[in-house]
Order: sequence, then structure tokens, then C-alpha cells
Amino acid sequence: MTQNIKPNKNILDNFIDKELEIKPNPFLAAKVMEKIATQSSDYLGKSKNLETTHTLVFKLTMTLSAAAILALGVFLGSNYTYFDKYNNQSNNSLALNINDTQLENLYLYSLDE
Amino acid sequence: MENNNELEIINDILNGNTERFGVIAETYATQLFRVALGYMHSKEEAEDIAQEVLIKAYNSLNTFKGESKLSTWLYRITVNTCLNELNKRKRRWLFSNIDDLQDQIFDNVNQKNPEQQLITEETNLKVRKAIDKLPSKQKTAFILQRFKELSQKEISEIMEITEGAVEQLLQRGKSNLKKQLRL
Repeated sequence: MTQNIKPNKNILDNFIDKELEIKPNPFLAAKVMEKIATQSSDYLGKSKNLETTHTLVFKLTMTLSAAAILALGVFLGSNYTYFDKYNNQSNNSLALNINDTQLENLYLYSLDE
Repeated sequence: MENNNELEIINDILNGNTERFGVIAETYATQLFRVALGYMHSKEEAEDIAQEVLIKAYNSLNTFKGESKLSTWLYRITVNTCLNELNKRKRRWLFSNIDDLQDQIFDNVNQKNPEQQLITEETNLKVRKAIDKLPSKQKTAFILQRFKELSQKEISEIMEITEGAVEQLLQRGKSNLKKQLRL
């Protein structure tokens, strides 16, 4: 009877002792270091890719900006020429179209006089 | 490992000498494995947790201020990782129970004395369940004391509670285990 009870009293200790006998893989630390090394090289690879993308985007932006400035210059230049020609050709007709009905009549200020 | 030495190693790592982390990994891998084993009760899973903890520690080494011991910090990460893993597992308890049952059946088939093995397995399962059923704080205090033989002071630092609170948790944990195991 006591033989049956005695082991029961120690089942918790026995269980813990048995679990503590389990040893981890001796290369556990090495595996961790390997993963860290892989992770670092992945990170470096990613950052290099990111750097290349940034350079490419910068170059592309600079080229597009230069092209846009050139196009704007050409556009403004050609518009100016056209406007100049238009002015020369229809300067008088433009003057005739001025509507002065909304202008305040000057005689309103001179009623008292 | 002394505290000053640890800080020196950490500074080296942060300055780019990443290989120095090997010293930390070598020193703590087994200790973290033991704590994880207390929660997971499986060699493979405890190894995975220890590995995960060391990688997490490496990635957030710049947040370690040196106010506590490195071991305290690592044990805290281990406890949190294990508790998170167990919480995740609760959601898929049915599948893991089926897996456990299958493992037990196949293990028992391979034993020389199946009856004796079955009794041992049953007892172990009972103890495992009793430890697993403890509330998380009692479980943590119990595991850190029994599986790592840490002092109440060290446990209180890891759990960020007073030593008195640790003692209470340990007493409650033990009495709960006794009730469940009917000792």
C-alpha cells in the first residue's frame, strides 16, 4: 500500500526531473547565429535594392524635370510669338470691345457745382 | 557572465561586431530552453522558442538599457513568448489534442512494456495538464523556480512584482497543483 502511495507523492518532482534531463540540440546557439547571419545578409540585400531603386527614381525625376522645363520654354516662346502677331494684327478691334457702361459717371461728383 | 562584461559585448554588437552575439547565444541558449520546456513540455518546441527569443533579443538589443541583468531581460522575453504561444494554441486546441493522442498511441506501440509506458504517460499527462491549468502568473513563478531554480528575488525582477507577491504566487500554485494531482 505504501509502495503505491510513495511514488504518487513525487510525481511532480519526477516529472520535472525527467523534463530537466532533456538536453537541447548542442548546435542550438550555432543555429541562432546562422539565422542571424542570413537575416543580416537579407537585410543588406534589401537595403542595396532599395538604394538602387532610390537612385533610379532620382535620375528619372531629374530627366523628366529637365524635359518639362524645356517643353515649357518652347511652349511659352511659341505662345509669345503668336500673341505678338495677334496684337499687331487686331489691336484696334480689341480696343473697340471695351465696355464702359459700368464705369461711374464723373458728373455725379459735380452736381453741386 | 558579469554585468560589465555583458554591456561590453552588447556595445561591441551594436557597433557592428555581430559575431559577438555568439557568446550570448552560447551562454543562454540552454537556460532559455529550460524555461521554455517548462511551458511547452516538448524538446522541439522549446528549442524553437529559445531560438526565437535569441533572435528577438538580437533584433532589439538597442532597446536594452542595462538597467536590469541581461538574463532577466532574456527570461522576460522567453516568458512572454511562451505565454503568447500558449494563447495562440488555445485557439487550435482540438487539433493539437488529436496530434498528442496520435503521438501517444504510436509511441506506446514502439515500447517494450506498453502497460508500464501507458501508466507513465498517463501520469505525465496529468502533471502536464495540472501545470498548464495554473493561472499564467502562478505558472510563470512555478516554472521559473522549479525549472530554472531561480531565487524569489530574480523571479520578482523578471515578473516585475514584489518578492512577497512571488511567494504568494508560488504558494497558491503549489496548493493548486496539490489539489489537481490529489497529493
